[in-house]
Amino acid sequence: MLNSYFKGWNIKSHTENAGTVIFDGVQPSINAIAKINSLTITSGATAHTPTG
Amino acid sequence: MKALGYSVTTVAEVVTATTITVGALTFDPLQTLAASDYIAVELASGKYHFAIVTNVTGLVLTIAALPEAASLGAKVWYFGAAGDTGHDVLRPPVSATTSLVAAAPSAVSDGGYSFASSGIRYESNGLGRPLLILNANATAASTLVAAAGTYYRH
Repeated sequence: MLNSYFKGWNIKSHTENAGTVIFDGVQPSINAIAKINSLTITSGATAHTPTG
Repeated sequence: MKALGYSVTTVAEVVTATTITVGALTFDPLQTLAASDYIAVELASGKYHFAIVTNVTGLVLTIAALPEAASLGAKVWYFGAAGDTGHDVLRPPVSATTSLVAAAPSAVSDGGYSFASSGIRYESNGLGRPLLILNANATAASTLVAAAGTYYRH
């Protein structure tokens, strides 16, 4: 069975703070698995818990 | 955040509609959709629209106005809340920039899941499921600098 990446997505410089939501929707006809391959977070001065 | 379940609309909704009627409220693991939960609605164009549930009355969900119509039978994906079992949680160090990188075909996170709750295993391969990246921090300023990924099928 062949595996294939057929489309990439890239989100940069989202500078919002608390409550940030980045939404990525896969169209139903694609029938694919959306994957996050890299994620960069700069945290604040006190502990917090970004959620992927 | 991963889509932990879905239902379908039982009434076609017009553009700017602020309520959607669904067939069921349950999602993994044995949860019931409630106010403040995150959802995604399949629009007539095939795109998914992110929304937050502000009220649930029976099988009617109240959300912000839809940007376009949603057809009868459209999928409505349920993410639940950030603290729900099944989501990946990342906790970077205080006052630091953290980069997470996974070489293909693995991933930092994807739409699939497999976890046990109360002795029952819940699984999905993630096909066709939307993803949310949520910075759930409520007090300390922080930044989602970048995210990149792929659509993958096999």
